[in-house]
Amino acid sequence: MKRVWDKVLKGYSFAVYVFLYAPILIMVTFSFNDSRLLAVWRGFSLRWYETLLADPAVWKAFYNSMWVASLTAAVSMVLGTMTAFVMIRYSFRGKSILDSSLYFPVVIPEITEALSLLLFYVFTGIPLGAVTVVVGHIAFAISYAAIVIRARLVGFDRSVEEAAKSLGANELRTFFHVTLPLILPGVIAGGLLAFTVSYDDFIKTAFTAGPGFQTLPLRIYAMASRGGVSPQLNALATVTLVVSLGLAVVRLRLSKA
Amino acid sequence: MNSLPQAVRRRKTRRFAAPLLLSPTVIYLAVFFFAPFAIVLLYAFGMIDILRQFSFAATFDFYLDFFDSIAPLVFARSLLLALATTAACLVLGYPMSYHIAVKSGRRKETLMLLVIIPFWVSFLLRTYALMTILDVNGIINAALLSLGLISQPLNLMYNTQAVLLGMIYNYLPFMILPLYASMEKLDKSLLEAAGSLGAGPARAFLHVTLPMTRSGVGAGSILVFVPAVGEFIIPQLLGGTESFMIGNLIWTLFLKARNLWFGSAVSIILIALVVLMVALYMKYVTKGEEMVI
Amino acid sequence: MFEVELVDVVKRFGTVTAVDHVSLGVRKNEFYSFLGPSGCGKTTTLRIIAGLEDPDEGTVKLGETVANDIPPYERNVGIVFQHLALFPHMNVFDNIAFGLKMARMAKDQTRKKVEEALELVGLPGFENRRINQLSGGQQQRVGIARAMVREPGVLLLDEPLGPLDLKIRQHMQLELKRIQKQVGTTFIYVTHDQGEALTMSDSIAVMNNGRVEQIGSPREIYDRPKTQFVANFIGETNFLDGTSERAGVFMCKGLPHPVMVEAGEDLIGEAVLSIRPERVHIGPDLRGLDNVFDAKIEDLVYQGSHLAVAVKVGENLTMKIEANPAVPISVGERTRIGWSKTDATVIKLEKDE
Repeated sequence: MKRVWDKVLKGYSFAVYVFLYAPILIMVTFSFNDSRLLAVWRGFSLRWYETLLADPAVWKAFYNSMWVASLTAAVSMVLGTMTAFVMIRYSFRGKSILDSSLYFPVVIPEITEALSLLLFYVFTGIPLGAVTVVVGHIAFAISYAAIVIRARLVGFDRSVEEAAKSLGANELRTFFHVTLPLILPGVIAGGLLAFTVSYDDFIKTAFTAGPGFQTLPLRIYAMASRGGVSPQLNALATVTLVVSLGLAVVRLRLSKA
Repeated sequence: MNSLPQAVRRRKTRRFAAPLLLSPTVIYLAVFFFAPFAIVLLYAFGMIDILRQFSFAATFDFYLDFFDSIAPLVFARSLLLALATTAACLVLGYPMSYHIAVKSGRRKETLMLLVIIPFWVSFLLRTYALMTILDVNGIINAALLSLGLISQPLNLMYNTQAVLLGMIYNYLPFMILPLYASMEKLDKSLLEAAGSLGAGPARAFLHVTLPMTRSGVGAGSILVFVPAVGEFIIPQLLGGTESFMIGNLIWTLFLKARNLWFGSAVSIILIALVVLMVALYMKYVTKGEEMVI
Repeated sequence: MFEVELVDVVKRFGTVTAVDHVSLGVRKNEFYSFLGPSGCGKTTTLRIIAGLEDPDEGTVKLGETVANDIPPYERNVGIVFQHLALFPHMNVFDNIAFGLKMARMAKDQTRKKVEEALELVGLPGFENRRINQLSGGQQQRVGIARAMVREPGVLLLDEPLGPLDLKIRQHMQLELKRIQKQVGTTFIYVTHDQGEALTMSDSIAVMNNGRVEQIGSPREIYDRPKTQFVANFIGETNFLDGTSERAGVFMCKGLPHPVMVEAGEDLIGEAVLSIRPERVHIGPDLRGLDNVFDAKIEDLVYQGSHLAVAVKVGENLTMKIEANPAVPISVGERTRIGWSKTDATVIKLEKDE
């Protein structure tokens, strides 16, 4: 009897996996379809990707996504490391309040953050565009990076730092020669998470980009809500997806380091 | 060889390190995260006018407008949809998590990784992927047509069912992960003990497994319910007018109608709702235990 | 002048006083050990000398200089940590060269010094090995080389041999002693293993509960323990309660006649007599011994190198004796035991126990 249940459970899990992967796999597969049709396979072709590559608006959006995400990642890595460091190493009044505040950006519904940023810019009269997008992304990404880096710092054995000090390294030199190399995988993982969060972001960008600035998610949304499903969009989605997955794999590798 | 240093240095610099390292983040978040929320509050109470002038004259008018509008209906619908999504994710996800955590032995980490991978793809892309198969020309319709089960393609999108499907599809990993985490910690010997005391598998499940995975159920539920209430992309791409949710309302108010004041009031009510739900969760579900994030 | 001196040092952690008014002085080129059970404050004291902890009260002197405010990277003190703390992201060469790099030494000079250090610890040619490729004993030596390559005036060692296997540990004890004599550096060594301390040290400071119980040479600590704790912690001993009535005489409760001791006037009052099991002789021929008593053998255990004998003396006092296995004795036998007065120590009873 138990055997039957186990088999049923196994079959069920398999079905759920199919459910989770099928839409994505189908979308990716049909981006290579040598036909305008979404459901009939005519042969392997890269024509939709060629169309993409030929489209300057797509390149612009890709370029924007990349530099916004890179800048977000860089700033979040540095600020996130500094913050995580203080949270782990020092104790002071108000630390727990600060700790909880770090979690707010992660827990609050994204749309409320998006609209609050918009209002902030409206009120202060700052014109919407690339800068407002990056600023908003960083505000959100610092928390993600700090939380990840902090998790890595928790088990850190400080005796190597004491050893360095006993060998003549002051606090700053100890950090750069000993501590940083050892926490680097965690720091980079935090940076990659910040990159991904920025790269994939839609709603905050939508609210703060204004008319002239577009990132990949914005482009995808524009195409999907206006024109619906199309092979070009499949191709664009696939490209975006591959980048996200690639980043995730690197992050995974780093977390095992 | 053994000369000892003569210089004596004070070690006061240590006291300044913490504030110095922390201040950039604190300032940044204060300006670009917390201050904006304060501004939302000001708009919601009508304390900033269309010319961006501030005044102390607060008003509840926009909140009262809330009740005269379609907003309460939209809120109720969103709560219901979020609830349905959470329930469905729980029912669908629980057996899956159980299978991976308890019945898979050494393969559980790989299996869990396979659950997480779709998670790494953004909601936008996953929702779009769903669109490609639900579309009139999509694979589901094509298959049904070619099998002769239907003569005309079905309108699978732009309705509430599609939205619900999309929500479940996107949020399922959010439920499976914490459930898995709580089940992984389950001590198999407890189940064996229950068995030796005469409990069959069904009763062992009911009296041992279910209560012990309560924290996972709670965490998964809140991780699905809270963001689901404020969801925008899924109802926007997959839904129709009948599935207009809070997210869509806020989008319309801010980006289409430019009604910053009413929009702010709606947002404040949403935030209050979220805070309330989280507070209730912390009080009744976790009862002070650590949250499984 | 001492190489390292602590004057009335106090260190508290919250409500716990880890180091309680500790004063001691370490001479140049000495092998000096802090010995005591876990939690006695020996490691904290060592860390204070290193500059890794700041004392709440008291003075730390390195040579002539008061070192309280000098940070660890400016003290000419090397440390070998209990769990080594070798830099995992560097190979052997870079680990050892680290201190020289911090001192901004030239590359060729650094290379020469690192090679010399590896020679000193018996690991020539190990420069390019990675840390995780080394055995426990090898890692230990790298730790020592790393600390010593900067030619510190003082080397602090925090239970460095703890994690090693017995045979390697014994070998490393000899190695450490050799290195110390060869280079002539002052060693301050922390351990809970009294055998280790007795073997290696020139001086031992026995610590308990944050206080120094006694400082002396291994022989002094062993033969003339000043407190019950020291007598009990180091080796085995018999404690006999009684009073020291006048110099040279100890009245023991339960023994038929007074015990002759080598004790001065300062020990008059309630006291405890400490006599080690191996110093007590058993058998018919006890000529020349000052103190002889009748005894009945209660128990015998053969321990290879000696017999562990439990005897009853006087009014129901039990004493432990280590006897030569060749001596013919059996359980239940009535015999005599004795010891000379120089073999026992009188310890004044601690009133604040």
